[in-house]
Amino acid sequence: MKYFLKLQLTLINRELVDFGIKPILGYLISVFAFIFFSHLFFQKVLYPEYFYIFFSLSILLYLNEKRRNDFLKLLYKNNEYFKIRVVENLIISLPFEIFLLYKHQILSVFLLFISSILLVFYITRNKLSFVLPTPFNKKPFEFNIGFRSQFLMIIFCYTITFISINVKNFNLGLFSLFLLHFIITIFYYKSEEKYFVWIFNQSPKKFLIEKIRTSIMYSLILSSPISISLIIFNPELQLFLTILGIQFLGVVLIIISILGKYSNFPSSSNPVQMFSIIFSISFPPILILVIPFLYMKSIKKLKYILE
Amino acid sequence: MIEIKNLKKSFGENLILKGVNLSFSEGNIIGFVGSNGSGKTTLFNCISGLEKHEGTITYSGGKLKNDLGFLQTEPYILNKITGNEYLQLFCNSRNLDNTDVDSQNIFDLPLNKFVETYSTGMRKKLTLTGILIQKNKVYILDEPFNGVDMNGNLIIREIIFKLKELNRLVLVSSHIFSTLTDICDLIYHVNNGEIIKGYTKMNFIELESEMSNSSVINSVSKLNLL
Repeated sequence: MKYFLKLQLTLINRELVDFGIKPILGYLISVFAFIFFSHLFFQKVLYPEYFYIFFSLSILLYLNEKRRNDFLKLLYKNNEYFKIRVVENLIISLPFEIFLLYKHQILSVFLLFISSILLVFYITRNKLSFVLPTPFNKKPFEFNIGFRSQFLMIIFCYTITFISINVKNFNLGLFSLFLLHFIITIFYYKSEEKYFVWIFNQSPKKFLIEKIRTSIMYSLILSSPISISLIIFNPELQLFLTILGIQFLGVVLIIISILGKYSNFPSSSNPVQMFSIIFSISFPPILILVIPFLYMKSIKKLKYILE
Repeated sequence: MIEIKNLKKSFGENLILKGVNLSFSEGNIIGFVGSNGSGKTTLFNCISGLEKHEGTITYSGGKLKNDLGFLQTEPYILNKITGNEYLQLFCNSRNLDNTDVDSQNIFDLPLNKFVETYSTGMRKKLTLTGILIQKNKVYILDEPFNGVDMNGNLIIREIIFKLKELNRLVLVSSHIFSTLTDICDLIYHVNNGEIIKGYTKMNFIELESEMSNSSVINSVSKLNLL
């Protein structure tokens, strides 16, 4: 068991190195980010402790994937397997429990502790046989995968829009539009295998333009139910202009996300992409520099695969 | 058609390909045999352009990768994509509009299901279908028979013969020696990053006895089985 857990730590360290930061720095940033976002969460959300437990358990679900557990069962004896899984779950839920304790949520700590142990007995299957149809079949790739992976989040956005129209709080609707565009940028976060770029007989420039064109077209399709319904139920010029502004911002985010991904291709995790998005949202004029910089870098990275 | 001169490839300090020189002409089926780790897949990756390398690879038809269909040993599969969408992606990559991918489903694959639910052999069949739809001039098939059922293997054999008939160049590797000797015009023996020798149809028996003598008996005796 000790060796397996040590190996997990080594894997996390390697991920951090691949991401471009030293492991110790990665851990420090993670601790500060965790404390900051937990505080923010407890300030902004109603009944935060329940959502907090739910969020913690949903992270643990990643360890319950069937193939991973089959592998562990084959490798270890039954009691050793359960020991590993319980220890893993307890380690991951520990920071959440400490923060709940700090917030004097003793019952929630107890609930999370028990749930994280019980969750060991629940195995998830990742091979779903149900194929969710999408309107993106002409150029199938990021949008088909993203739409199916983030389906619940997309439905959540549409639901918020519906509620915003019902309660006539159109700011909430605008927020759902922004959230949807942010979810779309996640479609482009992970780099594909080199092979799926290599098969294209396009120049790097044409490849990038085609990717951006497709993503803009499909993001407009995906966001149109929100923007159109908001305009229909509140046909005011100011709202219309704000929707246009958010759509424009969404397009810019996708462009940065695509360029960011290929600027560090074929590396799977990309700090350049993440920081570019954060900087661009907080200080939009920097886009004049960020976009050409990422574009040139992407062209350079794609050249050796496509030419 | 393709000329490879002094091809070298290393990963860190580990030299995998030690100056390979080869030339291939169209209408041929060229086989590559060698033990695991001998450098066959690295050679294919370099020819395809997926790996940077030293030395030159020239192709008389222009840009080789635009005419090349590459079936990798373990085709990488995208999650949450159906077989249909996967083939459509291969069509889009070559700007092939209005291709009816269903009609080209030669292996009767369940194209409306997620590719991640496919078995190893089915994934191979799907990727092979994809590169065939692209109508390439050169094909690299890295262990195409591995993991594929008997009927699928027979179809792949027929496909390779058809490609030869159409004057295409096919580079193929396999660990099933009899299959290679059945289909190839020429087989290269790869060992430790070097091309040891090329064998024509007349010398295939010589190659087989050379390979088995050098490895099988010594390897089994090392095991110390009780």
